[in-house]
Amino acid sequence: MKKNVMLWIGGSMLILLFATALLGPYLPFIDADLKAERFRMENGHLIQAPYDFSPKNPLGSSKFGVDNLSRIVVGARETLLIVFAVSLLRYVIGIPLGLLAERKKGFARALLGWLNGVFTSVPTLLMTVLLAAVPFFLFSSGRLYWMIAIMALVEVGRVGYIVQQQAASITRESYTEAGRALGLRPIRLLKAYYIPALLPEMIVNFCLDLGKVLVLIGQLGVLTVYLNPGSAEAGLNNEFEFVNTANDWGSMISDHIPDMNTGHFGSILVPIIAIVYAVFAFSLFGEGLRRLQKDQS
Amino acid sequence: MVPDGSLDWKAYGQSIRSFASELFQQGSLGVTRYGEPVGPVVLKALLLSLPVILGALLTGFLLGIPKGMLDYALSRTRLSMLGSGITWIMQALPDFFILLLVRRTLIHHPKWGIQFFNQQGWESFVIPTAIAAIYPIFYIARVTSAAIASEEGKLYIQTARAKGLPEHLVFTRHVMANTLGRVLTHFMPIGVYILSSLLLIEALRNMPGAAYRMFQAIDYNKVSASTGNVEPGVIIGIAFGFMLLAQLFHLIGYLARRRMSLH
Repeated sequence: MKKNVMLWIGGSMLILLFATALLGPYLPFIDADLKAERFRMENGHLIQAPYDFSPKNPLGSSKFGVDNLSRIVVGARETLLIVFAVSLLRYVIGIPLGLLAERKKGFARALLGWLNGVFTSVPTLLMTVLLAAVPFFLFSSGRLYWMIAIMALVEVGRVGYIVQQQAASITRESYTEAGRALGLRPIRLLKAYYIPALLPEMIVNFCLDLGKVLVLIGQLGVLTVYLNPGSAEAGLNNEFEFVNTANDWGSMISDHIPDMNTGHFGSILVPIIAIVYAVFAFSLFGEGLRRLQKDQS
Repeated sequence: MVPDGSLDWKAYGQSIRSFASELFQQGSLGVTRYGEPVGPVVLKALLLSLPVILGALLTGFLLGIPKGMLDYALSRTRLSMLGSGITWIMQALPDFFILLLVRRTLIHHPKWGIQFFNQQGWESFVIPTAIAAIYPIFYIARVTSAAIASEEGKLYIQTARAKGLPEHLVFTRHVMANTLGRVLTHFMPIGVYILSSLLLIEALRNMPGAAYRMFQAIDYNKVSASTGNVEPGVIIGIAFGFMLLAQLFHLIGYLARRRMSLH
């Protein structure tokens, strides 16, 4: 058998990612508290943040003097938790909805059609921003949870639709017809026929979806739409400003976006490359799993 | 003062009522924050984006199909990683990564004479179109090479070969004819992807096309005095435009699928 290179590379990239998320903050060169060091003495000169790439800040620092490498490592856990929560929610709602919509023609099918119609016709990113800007979600102290729900909701219809399509093709299989002719109960049919046939494809899709969610978080970051409530700081003229308090990679992009035009492009690239790395890991692993299933069948 | 986000149902109801009454009694979507009527504003924004959308679709098909043929041709040689490998990598790259790199490069090389932010000249069409077309090109390349591979060895092709049809005619008349139909069935996801990549492209180029104008109308702003600048008319108008486009893409994909199943 040909070696499944994609699975191996993707798998090792994922292991490195998870290890970083789990153990990274305890490494000696990582500043887990993310101390802001606005000024620093070097060779008798007082220098001001942001600092350039140096042994002390291997990936530079933010304009507040927070070390970029430490922030990436500390934020990895938060980012992965959000990404997994969104994808899990999508599939926990999408799979039963798709199965129900395939079996019965009533409410579930109407709901799925509606979800699909509303959320696929307006681009996902715009829909997410639109919902994220609703004052109720914008000012809610549980904003992060609402944002997870919103990001899951905008693509639930797509997941449900895929499940429905695949379930329909399983229904047409002769072994399912045989099972139905034998008088098996729906639960038994589900357990013995639908789930085993659906599961492999769903696992692959789930891996690919993790990458998609991460890209969405990055896009929101570029638009400086925060996932977290943040604290509001008063400004002039009765204004206030949301100040980001989170360390996930999307928020990190939004913190660096204002520096984009002042020559600190390197520090935007740090979270973006972290996202690219993770997206590649998820996609390679998903694609590798698909090849594995193809080889086995 | 920081709003606490509690729902003021009365105010919500009031503003929805007044919006609806204007919509149904006068047939207008109201005015923008600058006092212009919404209709022409929405139309202008859509017309700004439409050439980019169509250009990206066209570029995607014109470059993606040859790339897919190349990938398929290379798949049996040692260079297969060069073909499908590059296609796969380009497809997995997040769009904002490419976008930010292009923006940075063009800003830092003024000598090249390519103005990233140009709203009038050729750049205003070519730059967004090229960036929006990247994903479709590689998506279509992937679909094309898979479709060619699935036609391989089918009976009608063996028949054509057995009848002595030259190989290049077998490929153009039979394999590609069927492949094109199959690629067209993917019209909807490609079109919708272009629509959703539009927002970042327009936002980073500062061009108020449909997606960015809708973003401005949503008025998400982390520094804000109030949330009074939301323009519901613009949001609804542009969303309607997007829905029409998505339905059009859906229809094209549906027609292609029906044609495939008739064969």
